[in-house]
This record gives sequence, C-alpha cells and structure tokens, in this order.
Amino acid sequence: MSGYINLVLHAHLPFVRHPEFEDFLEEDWFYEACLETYMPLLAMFERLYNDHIPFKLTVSITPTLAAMMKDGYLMGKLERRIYKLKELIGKEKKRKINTPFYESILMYEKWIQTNQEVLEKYDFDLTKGFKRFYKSGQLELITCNATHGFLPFMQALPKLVEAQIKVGVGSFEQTFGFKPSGIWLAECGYYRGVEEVLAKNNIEYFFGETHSIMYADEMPKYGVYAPMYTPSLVACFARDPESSKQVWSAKEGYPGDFDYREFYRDIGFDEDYDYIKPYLHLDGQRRFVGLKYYRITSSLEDLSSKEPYNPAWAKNKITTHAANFLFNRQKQFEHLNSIMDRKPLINAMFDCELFGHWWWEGISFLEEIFKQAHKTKEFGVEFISAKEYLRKFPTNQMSNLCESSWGYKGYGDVWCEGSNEWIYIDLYLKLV
Amino acid sequence: MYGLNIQSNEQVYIESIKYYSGTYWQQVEDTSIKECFDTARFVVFAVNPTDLFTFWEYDKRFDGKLYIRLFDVTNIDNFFEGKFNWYRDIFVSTCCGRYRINGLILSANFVLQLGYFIGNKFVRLLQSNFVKMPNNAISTNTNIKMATKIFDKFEKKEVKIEEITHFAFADYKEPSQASMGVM
Repeated sequence: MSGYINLVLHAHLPFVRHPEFEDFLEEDWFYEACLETYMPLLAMFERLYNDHIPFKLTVSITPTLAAMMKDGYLMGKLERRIYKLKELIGKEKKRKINTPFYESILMYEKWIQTNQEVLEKYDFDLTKGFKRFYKSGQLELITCNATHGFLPFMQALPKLVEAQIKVGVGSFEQTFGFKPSGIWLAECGYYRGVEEVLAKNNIEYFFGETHSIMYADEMPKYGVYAPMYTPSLVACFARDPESSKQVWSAKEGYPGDFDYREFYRDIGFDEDYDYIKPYLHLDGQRRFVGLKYYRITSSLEDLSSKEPYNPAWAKNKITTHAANFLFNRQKQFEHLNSIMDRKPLINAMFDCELFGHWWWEGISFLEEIFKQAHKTKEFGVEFISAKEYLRKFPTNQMSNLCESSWGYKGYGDVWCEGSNEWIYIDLYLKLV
Repeated sequence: MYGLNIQSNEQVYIESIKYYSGTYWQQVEDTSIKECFDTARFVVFAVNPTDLFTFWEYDKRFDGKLYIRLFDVTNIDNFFEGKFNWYRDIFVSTCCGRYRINGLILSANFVLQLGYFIGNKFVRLLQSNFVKMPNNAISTNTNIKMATKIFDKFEKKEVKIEEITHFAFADYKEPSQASMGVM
C-alpha cells in the first residue's frame, strides 16, 4: 500500500526595511527567520543532495519575503548579526564549560557557522539557493499574492485582486526567472471566482483548506486525497487535517515534546544585563538574542522550572517522531487505498517558519522524514509536487469549491473581528 | 414575499441600482482605478457561513434613521427586475458606518440596500455588492463532473469534461483512532 505526500511550506514575512534605524524590532523577524529557518533549510537541501537522498517539497515564497531575501542592505545587516552571534557564542563557550549547557553551545556554534557558509555560498541572496534546488528538480517553487492580503475580503474590488495576483506572479518571475505554476493564496483564503484571475495568469493550481474541497457543491469523490478542479480548471489541493495536526499543534503535536527546545527561555532575559547588553538593541531593552538553553520540560508554563536542553535527547525524539509521522501516513494510505481507485495524495501544508524558528528541531525532523522514507520502503511514501501529480493524474473531479481559509474556524473570522475590521474599511473607502 | 416596490419600468432607478452594484463596474472598460473603486461605497462580505460584515460611506449628510434592507436573492437572476426571495429591514444607528448581520442562512445569496423611510416607503441611498454565504457541510449531491486537462510535451493543454451521474464510496468509513495509532 502506498501513496503520495505533497509537502508544502509557506514562507512569508511582511516587507520591513528601515535603514534609518540602527536596530528595528520588526526587522528582527526577518533575521531570526533567515538564521533559524530559511538558511538551515537550504543547508538541509545541500546535505540531502550530497548524500543522494531523494527529496521533494514545495516552498511558496511571497513577493515581500523574496524582495528581502535578495536585498543587499538587509543581507549585510544579517551578516553583522551573524558576527555578533559568533562573538557571543565564543564567550559563552568559555563561560559555560563544564555546565549542562555546554552541549547546546556547541550546537549553536555549528549552527551559526553553517549559516555563515550558506550566506556566502549564495552570495548574500537566499533566493539563489532556492532557485538552485528548483533547477535540480527537488524543489517546487510557487508564488503568493503580492502583499499577502486576504483575498476573500477583497472580492468586491476585483481590480485589487487582479493586481494582487498579477504582481505576485510578475515579481516571482522577476526573482526566479520562470513563471510559477502554482500559487499560495494568503491564509489559504479562497473565494469563488478567484480561480478566474488565477487562470488568466496561467496558474495551474493553488492550495486550500480542507473544506474548500470537502464542502464543494458536489460530494468530493476522493475527499481531500486528490485535487479538485474549479470551473476555470485551476486545481485546488486541500490540506489533509490528520498529518497537519500531528505537526502543527503545539499541544498534541510533536513540537510540544518535553525534550524539544523551549522557545521562550532566552539568554537575552536570563544573563546579567551588563554582559548581554552589547547584543541587545541600542535602546538597551532586554530581548531574545537567539540562544536558548532549556527544554520544554513539562506542560507547565512557568519558565523558571525548565530543565537544561539536551541536544542528544532531542535528536532521539526527532528520529522517533519522523518514524511516527511516516507510520501514520502508511496507515492512512492503507485505509485510503481500500476506498480509492487511485493512489491517495496527502497534502501536508505548513507555515515554513514553524520549522526551525518556532520548532527548533523542525528542520531536522523534515530531514529525518526524507531519510527514513528513502531507507524504509515499507512506509510506501513517495513525495510529489502538485504539478507532477496533475501530469500523472490529469483527470480530476470538477466542482464549485467552498469559500474558506486555514484560520481559526476555517473562514474569515480571524481577519475580520473587532480589532482589525478597520483595515477593510480603509481599503475600500479611503485608500482607493 | 415580494414586499419591496421596485418599479421596474423606471429606467433611471434601475440604472442607478446597477451603478452601485458590484457587477456594473466590471463591465466598465478603460476607466481609471479611482473611478472604478468609487462604486464600492457599500461593501458586504461573508465572514463565515452565517455572518456578514458590511460598511458604507456616502457623501450627503444624513441625520435620519438608517436601515439596511437585506435581500435574499438565492437562485434569483433578475434582482434588477425586482425579483428576490424575501427581505428584512434592520435598523442601524446613523453614527456608525459598519454593521454585522449574524445568524443567516448557509449557502444563500444576499444583496443589501442602505436607506431610510419616508412613511412606509423605503428610500434607497446605496446598494451593496452581491455576496454568497459559504457552505459548511458535505454536499449530498453525487452527480459529479470529471475533467481532464492533458499537457503535451510542450506544456500545451487540452481539456475534456465528463459527467458522472452517480458515484458511491466503497464502504466508506471515517478513519478510526486505532488506524491512526502510534508505533
């Protein structure tokens, strides 16, 4: 029994670039994501490639993020940040010898060195790294609507939606040198009619929340385990809830394991102020500097009761969790093969920054999945991209899909509640 | 329940409704963005399968009591000829330019008008775009269409569509917890 996994990572950050300030809080989001997610991801591709381990995944890179990834000013600041972190790690290595934190410091030393190599390898332009693995066939790259706006709430302004898609496609082509075959609609925000705009821009497929297909006008023959065509013949690939929850949920999912690194306990808050001050912003406010020495330990929220992080324990858990993830997919395939007349497809879709940034061990988890799937054929897992799937299985159900998003409750509630509804009022009545 | 007296013989009235509708401006070619967006002065969208969020702006100062007239136009093609399923009037304060309408019908289509009353007569100030409420259940309709989109080696595509009158799952069961077990 076997099936396909379409692993999709959505990478997005809003465009933040403030050369007028020495430090800028929101710019930190970008540096943190580069150091903890994007560059480790590129390093992972390199390792798998060198070890001849086949891998396939899709990464959507938003136009705003791509613009930052190739921006000389921001990448120069990222390099300075790497130097500062190297300096701090060097000091920590001397201070914390013979402490339970020493193994973590060695881990950080290796991490920052690898990041520096990635930055230099791709000549301070991370988009080059992603393009390289697209060209070698392991990576599918897709775009996103221009500013990551929630399209269902823009539908009464079709020109705005058209501009969001057109700019998303155009800027992607400008960055990567080819037209994207697929798109990530921000927040998986789908409404009926957006597919017409996608078709006009030669987009073949997009990704939707589970009920975009499950609540279509006709019963979905294959559930979410095959794509569905919209009337414009743009295909929708919908999220598999089972695989998502196992990885996504901080409580029930893998990232909440007690042996994994605690995100919120950082030496920016723990160390003596005078010692850590050179690594804070000029305003001197305590903040995360990126070195965290504790593990989650328990479900208790009290940060002071956390125990030291042990990289070896975390590594063992990664092996176990990757095997568990594949085992559960195998079980899903067994069930789905008994009711489907074709190989099932599981769309496992996540925010890219979950891996590495929020879940420190997440990149290693992905790497381990590819390694184990290659080594243990019994799992019956084959990784595939949406584009490849459509060429293997060109016949799919066609229906009117359901308006949806991957936000809380599955529709637009998150993006239109008391605190943020002013955005749309401004957008419709003031900005345009 | 055709309660509203839309006088379909009054061409000017119909045209003005069209002007404010979400569909009219799509037919307009070669107009500036500003001009197009000016029609979006009474906007409504579905927040979830049962709730609408609406907001508006109008130029003229108005001190009277404002009402939203909510029309159900599900499966209605000729609203502009005065057809609709039912309507409901909702009082909104004059001071706010936004309103939420909760507890509506799944999958239904609506259009809103903003106006006031002179006696029993509803005077329309603005009309919104049309909105379709999302579904929130699996359809029972098993008459489906299968489409084929074939790409040749030059990536040119060819499309075929086939209608299937009925399909059934083979002993379909929800995956049990046991089948999702751990190692």
